[in-house]
Amino acid sequence: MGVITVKDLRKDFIAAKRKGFLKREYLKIEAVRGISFEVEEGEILAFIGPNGAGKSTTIKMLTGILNPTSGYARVLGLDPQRDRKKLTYKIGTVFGQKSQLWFHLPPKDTFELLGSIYGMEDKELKKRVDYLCEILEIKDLLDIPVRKMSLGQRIKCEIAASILHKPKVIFLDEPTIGLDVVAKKNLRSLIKRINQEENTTIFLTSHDIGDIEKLCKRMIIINLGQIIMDDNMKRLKYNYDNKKIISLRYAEDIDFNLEDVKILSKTNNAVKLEVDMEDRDIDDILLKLFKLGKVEDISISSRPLEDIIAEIYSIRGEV
Amino acid sequence: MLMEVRRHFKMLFSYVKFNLKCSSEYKISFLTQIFGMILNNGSFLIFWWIIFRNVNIIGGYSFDDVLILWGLASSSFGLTYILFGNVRELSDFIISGRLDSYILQPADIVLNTCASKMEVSSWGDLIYGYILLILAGRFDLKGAFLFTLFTVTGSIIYFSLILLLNSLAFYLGNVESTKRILDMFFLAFATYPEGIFDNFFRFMFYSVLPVGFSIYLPIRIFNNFSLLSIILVILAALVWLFISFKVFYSGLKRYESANIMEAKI
Repeated sequence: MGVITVKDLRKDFIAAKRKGFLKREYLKIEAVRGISFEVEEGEILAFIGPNGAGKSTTIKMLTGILNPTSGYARVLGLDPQRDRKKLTYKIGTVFGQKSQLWFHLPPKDTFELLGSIYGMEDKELKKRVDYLCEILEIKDLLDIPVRKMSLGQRIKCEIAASILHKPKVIFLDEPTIGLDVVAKKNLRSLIKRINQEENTTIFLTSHDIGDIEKLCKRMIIINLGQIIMDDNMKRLKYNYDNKKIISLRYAEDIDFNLEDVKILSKTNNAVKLEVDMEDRDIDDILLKLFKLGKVEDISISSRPLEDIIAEIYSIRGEV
Repeated sequence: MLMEVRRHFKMLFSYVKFNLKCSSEYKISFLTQIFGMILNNGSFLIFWWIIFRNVNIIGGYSFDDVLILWGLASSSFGLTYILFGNVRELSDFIISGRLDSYILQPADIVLNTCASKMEVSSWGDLIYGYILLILAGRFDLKGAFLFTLFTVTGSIIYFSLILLLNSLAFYLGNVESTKRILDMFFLAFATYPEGIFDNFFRFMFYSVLPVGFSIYLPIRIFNNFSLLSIILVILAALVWLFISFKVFYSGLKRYESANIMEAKI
C-alpha cells in the first residue's frame, strides 16, 4: 500500500451570489472533481497544474485542513480529518508563502516552541536541531532574528522548522518561490538529501519547472480539478518530446529554402528551426543543412520541459 | 490524557516566554503599555470614590465591594489576554484562512491559535486588579487565594464567551460588530453592582451573559464564604468552556481556508 492513497476525492465550494438585498443565488464550484492516485514511500512526486487547478485544495484535504465533499483519502494509513492529531506528528509542511518562524525572534526560539507543541523532550530536540543544522547548514543562523535574514536563509530555517519532528511525508508548496538561482540550487539539493537520508516521501507543488526536472521522477498534472496526466518523467519527455530545435551559423550568407521545417528565426547567415521527428529523420535534415554551406556553429536541443507542460495544460485543459 | 495536559501547559509556558521576549525587544513601549493601562483603569475609580463620599451603599455594595468588583473584572480580563491574546481575533483567522498553520500542528487548535499572541497591556489589567485588592484591605491569605481563584474562573468564563462569539464566524461569516457589542455589554455589566439591576437582568447574568458566575457570585463568596458557591462557580466555568469548544469544533468542519500571504509578527 502507498504512503498516500486517494480515490475519487472531491471538493465543492458553495459560493453565494447576491441577487438583491435578501435574495441570494448559490453557486457550486467544483474545485476537485474526483481524483485518484497513489504515492509510494520515498518517492518525490511533482503535483502541478496552472493557478486555480485544485492543487492547494488537494493538499489541504490531505493534510486535514479541509473536509472533502466525498471520496477517500489516506495518508500513512490515517484519515486526515478524523486522525488529524496523529497525522500532524507524521507529516511536515512548507508553504513558501506562509511562515512558521517568529519574525522578531531567532529560529532557535521557534524551534524550542515547536518542540513544546510536538511534545519533544529537551534532549531529543537538541539532538534533532544539531542534526538539521548540519544538513541544512544553518548553525550560524540559529541566533539571528528572522527579520534580519535573507529570503534564502529564512526558507532553510523554515524547512528545518517543518521537519523538526521527523515527518515521514513532507508537503512542499512552492518552496523556491522568490529565491535566486544559487539559493534555488542549494535548496533543491537539500530537499534531495532529506529525501535520501530519511527516506522521506516528498509531495511537491511548484510553478518552477526547474524544481520538478531536478527533483522528481514522477509528475501528476491537474487542471480544472481533474488529473490530466500521471506519468513518469522519462516517459513524458519521450512521448511529448518529439520536436528538436536546431540552431546553425554559417560562415557566409546563405539562401535558405528547405521544405517541411518550421523556421523559428533567421538572419543572413544563421537560422533556428523546429523539426518534428515523427515524420522526418534527423540525419536526413542535417545532411541537407550541411550541404547549404560551411557550418561554423551548431546546436541541437530538445524542447524545454516548460513548453511541453504548457502544451499539456492548453490541450488537455479543455476536457 | 495527563501527558496531553502537561504538554499543553508546557506549550502555554513557551508562548508566554517567547511573547514576553518579543515584546521586550522594545522595552519602553512595553512598560508604557503596562503602566498606561493601570492609569487608564484608575481613572474610573475616581468617579466611584466621589459617589461613595455621599452614600455608603449602592445596590448592596460598599466602596470596598466595588473595588473588588473592578479588581476581579480587570484581572480576569487581563489574564485572558495575557495567555490568549488572539482569542478576540479568532473570527478574522477563520475568515482569512489563517487557521491552517495551527490545524497542521498536534496541539489543540483553539489553545494553540489563541496563545500565539499576548496583549502586553493586559499585564497592566492583571496588576491593577491586585492593586485594588490591596486598596480594599483584603490582601490577606484567604483574600489573595479567593481573588486568584476567581481571576482564573472569571478568565475561563470570559475566554469562553469571546471564543463562542468568534466561532460564530464559521456559520455567519463576518461577526466583527456583533462580537464587539456583546463584548462591551459584558464588560459594562461586570463593572456595576449587581443590586442595581432588576430580575430580568439578573436572570440574564446567570444564563446568557455570564457576568453572574464570573463576578457577582464570587463577590458574595468574598463576603459570605460558601464552599457550595465556589463549586458552583467552577462548574459554571467548565460548562461555558465545554460549550464554547463544542461550538468551535463543530464550526471547524465548515472551515474553508484561503490563500493569503502571511507572516507571524
